[in-house]
Amino acid sequence: MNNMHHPLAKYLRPGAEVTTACPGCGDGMIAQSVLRAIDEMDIDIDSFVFVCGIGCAGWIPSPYFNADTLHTTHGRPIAFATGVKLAKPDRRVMVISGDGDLSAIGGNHLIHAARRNLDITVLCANNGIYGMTGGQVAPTTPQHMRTATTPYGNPEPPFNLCKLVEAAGATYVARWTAAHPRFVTRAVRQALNHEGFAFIEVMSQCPVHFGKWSERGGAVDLLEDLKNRSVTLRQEKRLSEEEMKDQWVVGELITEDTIKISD
Amino acid sequence: MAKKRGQAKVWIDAFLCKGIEGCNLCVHICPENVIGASADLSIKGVHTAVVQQLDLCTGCDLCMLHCPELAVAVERAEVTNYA
Amino acid sequence: MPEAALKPGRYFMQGNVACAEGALAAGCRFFAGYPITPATEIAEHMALRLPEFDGVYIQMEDEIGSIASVIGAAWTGALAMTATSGPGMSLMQENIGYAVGTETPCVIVDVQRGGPSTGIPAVPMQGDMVQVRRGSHGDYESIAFAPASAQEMFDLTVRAFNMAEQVRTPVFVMADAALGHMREPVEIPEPNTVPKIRRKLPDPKTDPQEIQGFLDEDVAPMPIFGHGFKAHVTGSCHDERGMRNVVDAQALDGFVRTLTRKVEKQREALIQVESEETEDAEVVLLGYGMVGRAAKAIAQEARQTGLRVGSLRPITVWPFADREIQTLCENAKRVMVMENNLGQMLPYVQAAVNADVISLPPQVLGTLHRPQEVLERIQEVIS
Repeated sequence: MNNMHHPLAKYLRPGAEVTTACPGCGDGMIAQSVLRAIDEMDIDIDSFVFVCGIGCAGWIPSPYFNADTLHTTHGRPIAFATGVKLAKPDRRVMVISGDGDLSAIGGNHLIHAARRNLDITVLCANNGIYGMTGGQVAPTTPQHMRTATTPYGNPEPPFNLCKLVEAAGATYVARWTAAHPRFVTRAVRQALNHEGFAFIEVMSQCPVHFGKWSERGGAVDLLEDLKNRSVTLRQEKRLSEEEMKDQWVVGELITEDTIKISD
Repeated sequence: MAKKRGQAKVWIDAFLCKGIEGCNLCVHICPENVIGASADLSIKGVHTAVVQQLDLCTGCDLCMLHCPELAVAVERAEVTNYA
Repeated sequence: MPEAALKPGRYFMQGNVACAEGALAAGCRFFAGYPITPATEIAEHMALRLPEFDGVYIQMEDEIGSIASVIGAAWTGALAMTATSGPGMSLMQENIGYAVGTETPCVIVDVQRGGPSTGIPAVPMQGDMVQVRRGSHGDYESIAFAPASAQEMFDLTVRAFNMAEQVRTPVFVMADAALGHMREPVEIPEPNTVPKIRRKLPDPKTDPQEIQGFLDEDVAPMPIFGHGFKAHVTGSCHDERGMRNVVDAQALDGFVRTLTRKVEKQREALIQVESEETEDAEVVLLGYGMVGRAAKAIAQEARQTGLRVGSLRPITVWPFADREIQTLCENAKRVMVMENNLGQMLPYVQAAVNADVISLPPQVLGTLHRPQEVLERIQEVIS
């Protein structure tokens, strides 16, 4: 049973109100931020098809949201979403999945959908690790960090997902963190209004695995860490490359309108 | 200008809450120390977040927004639109 | 779009093109694919023709994306297909399992080529006959048809869509490079004479939380997107409402057995076998696809020399026509399984038939069996 007083509880699938997230997980906060955007815009949630992949973030819409949801094979939600959107363009198609799912195994589908400027919204919950399987390294894990499969430290530099997707052709790119719930909601609203490929990267705290391996602490410490590492576009201009090394830029990074493939 | 307090109701669902041991986000984010920890363990074996000083609450909504479980709900006397 | 449909009549048509036209005639309006010899002509023809039907063609970045978008499109209600060859089939296996597990109707054409690995793209082989049955992980049933002519490329693709809709599962059309590329006369029928079976949908008045859109042996109604059914589609083990259960072995048991029974119960609708002169035959030549034509022609030639030889061509290769083959071969001394491979269907025939069963690949894999090489083997047994 859900918290009947919660204004967003009405969007939850009866019987699925308890999330599968770990205590303090950023993905749960992201779920709420997304639902808040839909609620504020007064969109019928039945006009959506939510498509998600394998990993903790895949459980944001499935089974949690009481709407048409397609929980796909690992890495493939964007490819499945392409079929959904092209076959039934009147649906609002939103992909919500994790950094491993979307940028490792699913990287190819991500860049092609961006290249196509496909009219979908992709929200990537980026926790910098493979959480569901126990804390293995991801293409977004900070270099040198130890993880379950990099016990001597990650030798590889991570992706800058926003730059990757921008280069591929996305026409709306934003980055926020789970610690910025109202900004995530606003970015989702902008993305839903955007015609074309909209990508929102939301840095998300994973207290159980990332917190442990990074030694940055629990949910509260990681939440503050997310805020501390966030730098606005304006602030970034005043920082050196060295100072930006362990930071990321937040905000609406790309917002240009172009022709979408569904035309 | 003094903050308007006692302006909101806060409900925390003790079943949905996964506990201050692992989470504690609402307790931490509240600027007014409204929320604390339960004295007893919940059915899930954790100390849940509980409303302790509702009269201090300004209805800022931060606790509600920061809960990953939608376990915290805030109802304000007056509604302000932010978006 | 009646104007876009081919005018009924006799056409000289390439196998791959006939397959594409069959799909369009059946109502296919979504194709996603990736170029691969020798199936590419299907994609090219669909790219040309689908817009004429207000359909959608997309060339995806790879075969995995292709089958994924086919499944996504099918969940919006569309009749969707892809076409590939061996290497693409290998890539698609994970999502094929997903389509089976989520009961997604779709058609996958495999125009088989020389393998393994890159092999020879433009030389025919029947190399994927077991892969189509068991290529994805886990336990499940497959439905596959093996056309033997350009006409059957048209007819069996129509049938593939109808059976996919009826059984709510992927259906395969197993062709090969020779069949895909050759040109033969094809009769195109009047569009409204083409049978069109369509999946059932839930009653729109049903409470979405009560819809049982999965795991019915008699085929559950499909809660497609966009109708307020609030479908929950997952490849995880689930219950009749599509809700996940990854805890109870009992749920897994139901998941696997129900999906299997669902196909088994349709056996009669699915199995098609063609045979000639098997009643008194001492030797039966069994072949499917293009090889089936060789088997038939060689059996006829043998008969003309007085040898009691018959031919048997499974048109449905999966589910396996064990009972039919057993009955048709019950008087035979020997069954010669002619395959353009080293004996992929052989063990299944051996299990079904009491006679002596031997495998007979062509002398040179990738080419058609020559009458002489087969007649010599027949004469070993009878004279």
